Amino acid sequence: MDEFTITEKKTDDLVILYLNGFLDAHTSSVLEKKFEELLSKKLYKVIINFAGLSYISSAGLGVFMAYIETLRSNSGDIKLSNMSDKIYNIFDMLGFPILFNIVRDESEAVTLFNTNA
Amino acid sequence: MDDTFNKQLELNSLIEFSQLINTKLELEFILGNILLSIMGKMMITKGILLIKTDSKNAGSADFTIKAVKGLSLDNHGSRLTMNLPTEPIFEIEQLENKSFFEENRIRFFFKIYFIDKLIGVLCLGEKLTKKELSKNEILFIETMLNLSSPTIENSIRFDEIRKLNISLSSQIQHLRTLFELSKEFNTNFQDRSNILRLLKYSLLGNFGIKDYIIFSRFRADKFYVLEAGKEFILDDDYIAELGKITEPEILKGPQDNPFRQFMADKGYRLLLPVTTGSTVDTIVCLAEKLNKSEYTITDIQFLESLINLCIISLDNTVLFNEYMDKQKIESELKIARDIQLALLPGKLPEIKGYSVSGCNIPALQVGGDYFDVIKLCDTKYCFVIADVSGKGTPASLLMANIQSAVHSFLKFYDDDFSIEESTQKINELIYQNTNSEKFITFFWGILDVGKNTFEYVNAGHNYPYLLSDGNITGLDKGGLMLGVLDEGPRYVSGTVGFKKGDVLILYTDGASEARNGKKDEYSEDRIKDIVKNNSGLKAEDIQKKLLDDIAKFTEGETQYDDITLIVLKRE
Repeated sequence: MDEFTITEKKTDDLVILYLNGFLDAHTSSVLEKKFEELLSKKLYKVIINFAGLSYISSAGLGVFMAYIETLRSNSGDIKLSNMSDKIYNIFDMLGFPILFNIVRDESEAVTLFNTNA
Repeated sequence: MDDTFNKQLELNSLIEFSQLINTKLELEFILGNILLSIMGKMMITKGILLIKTDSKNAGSADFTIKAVKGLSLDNHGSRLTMNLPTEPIFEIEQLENKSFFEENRIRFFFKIYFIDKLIGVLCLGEKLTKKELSKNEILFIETMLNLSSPTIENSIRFDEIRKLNISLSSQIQHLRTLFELSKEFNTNFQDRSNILRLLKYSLLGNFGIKDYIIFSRFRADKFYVLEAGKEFILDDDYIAELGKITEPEILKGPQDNPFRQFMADKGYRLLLPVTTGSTVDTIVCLAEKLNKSEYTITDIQFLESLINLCIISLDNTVLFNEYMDKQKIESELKIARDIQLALLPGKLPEIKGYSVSGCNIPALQVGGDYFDVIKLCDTKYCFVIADVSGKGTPASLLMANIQSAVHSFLKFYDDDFSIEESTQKINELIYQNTNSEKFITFFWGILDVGKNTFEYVNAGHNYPYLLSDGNITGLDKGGLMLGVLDEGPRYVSGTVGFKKGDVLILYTDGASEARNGKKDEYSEDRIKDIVKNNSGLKAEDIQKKLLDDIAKFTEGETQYDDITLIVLKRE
């Protein structure tokens, strides 16, 4: 029942991940594997589009925390976009905006990557 | 004329101001605006707005600095305790503890009331002109404060509700985490790495804690690192300190204990002992939260539940695997028992003119006792009883060994067969196959139904008893038990005759040494008595009488050793 899928769009060294469904303790390993896959391909610039995500739990948030430093140390980043208010509130509550760029839409995130580079 | 114009202007700015602040609920924005409006109007360059934090004590009160203008204060949001004079408006001279305000060159104070309740204090510096505040100016400030006090009160409430909401949401988030994890651990309970992975993500995800160490002493005498965010090694001295932690400890500022200082220097902010059952077998050290806030009691309660859940699940994986291993061993033992049962005779051969019976009741699943009745030819039958030292699997292996040795030698049975020499050879074989602390007491004999004689060798076994004409004889000819000496004294055989009505009983010490609750042994004498008193019965019934009597004697006590019996009677 608790489905979670990731679709991927890649332009040059920039990867956009579209999360869909429920990201919880059970499905967090799917996202984890995706990050491992990106690391193995040396892709460090990641935008996460949350538009299709209906639920996120702490274990899901934890995955972002676990990979942010590795990506940044490889001059990459995780930028978060298209969050619903419900999802944003969870990120906000835990203080994520201190550590992550959270932007309204995907194109803003792309611009951020391009201007920083 | 000029005066009316001024009044009009004041009124306008008051209306405009009250419209602005009434549309907003953010406390800091409103307070900032109040400060700026008043300071702009009065040409004052410094202002602080304090909001009362505790509502109990009227005289001395706790305030929080909520808005600051014209000052570079880094203690924004910090607390002050003040003893306020009774007047609603006062100057710095009237304050008891004025150092903070002197430093910031504050001079005028206006209490802010909502209805009759003190909700805050407006603190203002000197006017640019260094002049006193005029009556009109004081009236203006008072009006402004009166106008804004409901809004301030509302935003304080709003602020409180907002904070309460955040804390409720985070508690819901915590509960969700626990719920999700317990669901996950229940369906995926064998996977230790999965449990540790989810614990890591939950710590990261709930508090943004990047560094954590989990010390455990589950089935160990001291703590070791079970899991950590990054590699972590702790000196033995410090490991010992872990054992002294009984309450959650927040590490903040300088520590008087070197261990705690060490942990604080490493960035850890919370030492959390987790009680599983009645003992603290887990200590968790957590670094600072992502949002830098301190660990609260609610956080600690959540962490305790979270870690407890994980630790119990981890312990369960160990217990589950042990249980599975035990199940596996038990099923293997059952297979071994089946193999061993196949080594014992199924149905005993029928012997013309004789009745014969035998049984083996193992104490553990597999045992070291062996008995056999083997037909050699139409007139000769071999009887074997043996007891391997020790119990369980090792004994059963040696039992299999002696069984195959006996059968191999009897395969070549012919008229030249010497029971003495064969015993010697079996001894050599057993000696070679075992180390010196393993031995076998062994008795075998050949019944000749033509001559009605019984030739035997007793290699250290309990004497079998032959009841003949009411007299009991122990069959004691033979030699040392098997497997002790390679080339000891030769084994010698004995021969007894079998008259009608004679009964021979062979047994292992599991029968003679069976114990009751008082640790008394069943004894050879009692075996002899049973045989004597029941010699009129057939072999099978004598055996049954004996087993029943042993059972009556031991009465529910655990059976410590295998019990093996053979009864042979000439009818």
